[in-house]
Amino acid sequence: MSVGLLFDSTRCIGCGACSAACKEANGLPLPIEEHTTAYTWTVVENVGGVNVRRLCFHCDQPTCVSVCPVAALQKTPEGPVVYAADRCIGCRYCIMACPFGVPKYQWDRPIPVVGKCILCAGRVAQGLPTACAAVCPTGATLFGDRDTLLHQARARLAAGPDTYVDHVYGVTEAGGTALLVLSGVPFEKLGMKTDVPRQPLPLLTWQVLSKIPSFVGVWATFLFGVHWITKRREEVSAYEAQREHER
Amino acid sequence: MSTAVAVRRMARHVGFWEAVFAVIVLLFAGVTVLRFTQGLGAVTNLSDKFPWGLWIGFDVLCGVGLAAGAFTLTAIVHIFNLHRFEPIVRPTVLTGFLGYLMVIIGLLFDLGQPWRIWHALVFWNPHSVMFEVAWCVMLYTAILALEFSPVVFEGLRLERPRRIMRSVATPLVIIGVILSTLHQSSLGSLYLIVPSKLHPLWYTPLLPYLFLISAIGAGIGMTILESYLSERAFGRRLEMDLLEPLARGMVVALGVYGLVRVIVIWKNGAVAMLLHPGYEARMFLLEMLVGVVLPVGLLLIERVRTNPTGLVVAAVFAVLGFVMNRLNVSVTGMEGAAGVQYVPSWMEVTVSLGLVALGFALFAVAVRYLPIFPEPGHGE
Amino acid sequence: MDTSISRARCLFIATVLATPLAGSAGGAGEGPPELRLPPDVTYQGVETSPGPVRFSHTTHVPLAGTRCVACHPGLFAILQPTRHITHEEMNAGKKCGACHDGIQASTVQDACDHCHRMGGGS
Repeated sequence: MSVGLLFDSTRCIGCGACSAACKEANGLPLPIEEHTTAYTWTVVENVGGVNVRRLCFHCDQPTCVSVCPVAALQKTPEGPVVYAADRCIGCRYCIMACPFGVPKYQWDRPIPVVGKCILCAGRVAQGLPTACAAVCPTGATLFGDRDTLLHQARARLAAGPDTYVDHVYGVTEAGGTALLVLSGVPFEKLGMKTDVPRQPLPLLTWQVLSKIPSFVGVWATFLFGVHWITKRREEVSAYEAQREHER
Repeated sequence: MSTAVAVRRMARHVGFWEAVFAVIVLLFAGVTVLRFTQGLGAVTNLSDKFPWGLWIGFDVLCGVGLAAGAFTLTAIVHIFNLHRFEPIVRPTVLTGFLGYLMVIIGLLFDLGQPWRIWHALVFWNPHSVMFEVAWCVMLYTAILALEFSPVVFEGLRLERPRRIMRSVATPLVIIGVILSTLHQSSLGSLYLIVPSKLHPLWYTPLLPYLFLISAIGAGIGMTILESYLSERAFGRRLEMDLLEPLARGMVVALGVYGLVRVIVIWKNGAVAMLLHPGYEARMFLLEMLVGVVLPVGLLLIERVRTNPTGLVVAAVFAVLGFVMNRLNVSVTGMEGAAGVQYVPSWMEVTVSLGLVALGFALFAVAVRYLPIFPEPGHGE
Repeated sequence: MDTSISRARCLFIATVLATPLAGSAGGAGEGPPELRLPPDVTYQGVETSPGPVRFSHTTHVPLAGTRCVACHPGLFAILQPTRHITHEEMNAGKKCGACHDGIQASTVQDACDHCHRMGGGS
C-alpha cells in the first residue's frame, strides 16, 4: 500500500495552514515565502484567482532519484521521495532534471543542501497523515492510500463535470505521481506543467546506461583487435626496412 | 636552441601576459575566498530556475571535450600503430591531463559541498549518468597520469620505472579510450533526462553520439592549436606533416557530426524554426557556421590545409564552434523552459578564466622541466 | 517574525476574501467549501489565574483574513495544541500578546474579565 495526496484546488481557500504545518513538522525557519524554496517546502499561490499548492509530486519513478550520483534521494516503499542531506554533494542535477521544478537549493549558505517536500515520511511511517493534510480546514488536501484517492478523484470528476477539468493530474504525468491534483480551470492556467512526458524520465538514461557493460566488452575487443592487426603490419614493414638496410 | 632553454630565457622577462596572469590569479584568489565563505549565491548568477551555468557549461563540458585530443592521439599511435604521430603524443597527453585537472578543480568550485566529492566512491547509483561520468573521469584522470608518467620518469632519469610504464602503454591506452568514449558521450547523456526542457534544436536521443563525435573533432582542433601556441611560446616548429592528416580526421569527424545534426532537426521538425529565426535558431545557425561549415569548408581546400595559418584558423573555428555548442546545450537551450536568461557573473568568469590560465601556466612549467618536446638531434 | 495585522487591514482582507469564499469557491453546484476549524479551547490556567480563558477560532479566523499563517506556526504551533499561555509571554509580544497589545486588539493587561471567566475558586 502506498500513500498519496489528493489536492483539489476547487476546495482550496488559500489559508496557508498547509505551509504553516509543513514549517512546523520539518523544523523549517520562518518566514513562509511566496514561492517554494529550500526553506519553504510548500506554499499556496493565488494564480488568476484560483488557489493552487506547490509541492513535490513524489513520482512513482522519480527523476531526481535516478539522477542523483550518490543516491541521496530515494523513493521509500510507502511512497515518499526522501532526501539524505548527509550524502548530498551539491551537484544540483536533481534541480536541473526534475520535470516539475520541485527541488530547491540553499544558495545563501556556505554549506548548502537541497530542500523539498518529503511527504512527512517520518509521520507517515508512524501511521500519521502528512502535516499539510492534517491541518487543511476544507479538506482540499487529503491524505490516504494513493489508489483510494485516485478512485475518489475520479468519482468527483464524474459527479461534477461542470466543476472540474476532466483530468486527474498525476496519473500519466512522468509515469504517475503520488500527488494527484484536480482543478476547475485548465492546468496550465494554474502554472502547472502540461509538457511533462508520459513515460517515466529515468528510462531515457537507463536505455543508454544499461548498454554500457556489453559496449565495454565489444569496444575493448575491437580496439585490441585493431592494435593486434596493425601491429603486425608495422612489424612486417620494420622487418623489411631492416632487411633493406642490411643489404 | 632547445625548448627548455628558450623557456628559461623567457622567464626572466616579465611581460604583458605575465601581468595578465598575475591579475587573474589575484582576482581568482579573492573569488575563491568569497565562494567558500559566502556560498554559491553570493558569487554566481545561478538560481533554482537555472542551477547549472558557466562552470558546468564551460569548465566541465568544454574542458573535458577539449582534452579529448589525448585519447584520440594515443589511439592513433598505440592502437592503430601509426607511430609517426609519436612526437605530438606527449604534449597532447599533457594537455589532456592538465585539462582534466582543471575540470576537477572547476567542479570543486561548482559543487555545493565539494569536500564530499569522494562520496561517489562509496555511495553508488548506477542509474545516474552523473555517477558514471564521475567514475570515468576519476579513473581516466588516473590513466592520463599513468600515460604521462614515462615523461616524468625520463625527466627524473629513472630508467627502470620509465620502461615499465612504457611497456604497459597499450593496455593503458585501450582502457583510456574505453573510459573516454564512455564519459565523453555521457556528458551528452546528462541532457537526455530533460526532453521537456532542452530546446528541440539540441535535444535528441542521439546526444551521446553527437557529444562523442564533436569531442573527437574538437580534440584534434585543440591539438593543432596547442602546437601553434607552443610554436609561438617555445619556438617549436609546427609539425605540418603530422597535423595535416590529423586535420583531415577533424574534417571527417565534423562532417559526420554536422550531417547527423541536420538529419536530427529534420526528423524532429525543429528545422522549421530556422525559417523564422528566433534567439535559439540564430544561436544554432551561428554554432553550425563557426563549428562545422567554416572549418570543414576551409580544410577541404588543399592550399588552406597545407598552410600553417590556414590550418590554425580552421582549428580555431572548430574549437570555438565546439564551445558554442556546449554552451548552447547547457545554457541557451535550457533558458526557454527555465523562463530566465542566464548570464554568468564576473566572478564565475574569473574562475573559468583563472583555470584556463592555470592550465597554460602548468603547461609552461612542465615544458621547462620535463622532456615534453623531442629535442632536435635527440631520438624519441 | 512579524505577524501583526492592523485592524483596518484585517477587516479589509476579511471582506475581500470573504467575497469569493461566499461565492463560487466551491464551484458551481457545490457551495463554498466547509471550513473545518479546530474546536474551541478552554485554558484552565494555574492557581493564580482569575478564571479560565476560552479561545475560539471562529471569532479569530475572519479577523486574520482566513490566513492561518497570521498566527501559525510563528505564534502558535499548528500541529500540537498550545497548553499554556502566560502573561510573561503575552507582555513580551508573544502568543496572544502579538495582537492583544491594546493597539491592534484589546489589551491583556487590565480588565481581567475581558478574557477570564471570573467568579468561583481558581
